[in-house]
Amino acid sequence: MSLLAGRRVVVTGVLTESSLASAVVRLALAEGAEVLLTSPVCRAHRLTSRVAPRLGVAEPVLELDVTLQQDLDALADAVREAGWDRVDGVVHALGYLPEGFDATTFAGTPWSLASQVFEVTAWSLAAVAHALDPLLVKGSAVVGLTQNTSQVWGDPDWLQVSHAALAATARSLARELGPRGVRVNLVAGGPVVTLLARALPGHTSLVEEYAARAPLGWDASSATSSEAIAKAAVMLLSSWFPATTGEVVTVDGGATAVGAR
Amino acid sequence: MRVERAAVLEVVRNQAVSLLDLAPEELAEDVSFVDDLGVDSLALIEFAMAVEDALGISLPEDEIAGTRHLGTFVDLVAAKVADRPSS
Repeated sequence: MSLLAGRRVVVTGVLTESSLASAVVRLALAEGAEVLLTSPVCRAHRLTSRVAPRLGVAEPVLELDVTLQQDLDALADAVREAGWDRVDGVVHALGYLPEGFDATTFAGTPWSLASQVFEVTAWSLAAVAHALDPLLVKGSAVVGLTQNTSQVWGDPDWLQVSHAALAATARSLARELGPRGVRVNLVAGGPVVTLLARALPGHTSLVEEYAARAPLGWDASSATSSEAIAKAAVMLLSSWFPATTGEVVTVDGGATAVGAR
Repeated sequence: MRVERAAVLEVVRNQAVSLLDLAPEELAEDVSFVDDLGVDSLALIEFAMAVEDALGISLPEDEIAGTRHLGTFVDLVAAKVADRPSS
């Protein structure tokens, strides 16, 4: 079965081979998709460009810093220059927590910092969809990767708040794009251990909590967990969820469906 | 042919100089990437990938995360080089 045969998918958020977006790319390619990657110019772009051939994705890696309006304005033309006349899928796997972010002063976080987190993590879903809007067609799907936001996990931080805003953004976008047959959904995955995730405050305790709660089990350091999240994303990109939009599909072994043990 | 650890150290140092913008004299084996050199996680990944490409090896991220100092990183790389089928 090739779920994404002939479908062209733009994927944001590939930084390393262990990025969740990389797991989505591997599976999307295996299911027959064509893939274009985006990354901000500078160090992230160099990383993505190094990872792209390892994933089997052809150049170019499109330049996209979602905080730069000129990058957003140029995105559709860059996709056209890569030879695509339409985009069937968009994967949003962006989040941002500045290095040195002090999670112990949630309420004291200045707007200048919180707004950056919100801009990259939540607002950018709408911004990227808008940038690619001229290329979206009936049946196209926008899929974002997120985390559970029904309660606060560990110390509060503006990344969690922004992920809650991401879900609201997805619903609003679903309403706006729905009449054109474009779907917008999120996958809320359990924690996955990557080199970058290790730097997040409270990540270790989060990993342990999910492992303890999940009725199906949740091993954050297993590739199986990344693949489970990627499978849900690929299903939502495919035509197999034709009447689902504005939804959040949870992939966490059931950890957030149950209370503490 | 077996690559000596000294040769691996040379490759690692060269990549560190060009990618991490460090001076050769900063790169003693007991320096810590994070604590002494201020290398963040993204830079460390890019550096490690460059070393992988230069030597034709694969460095699992959890093993990279376990190496805090240049010397232990070189040990890891040398072990992977020794395990290459062609070595």
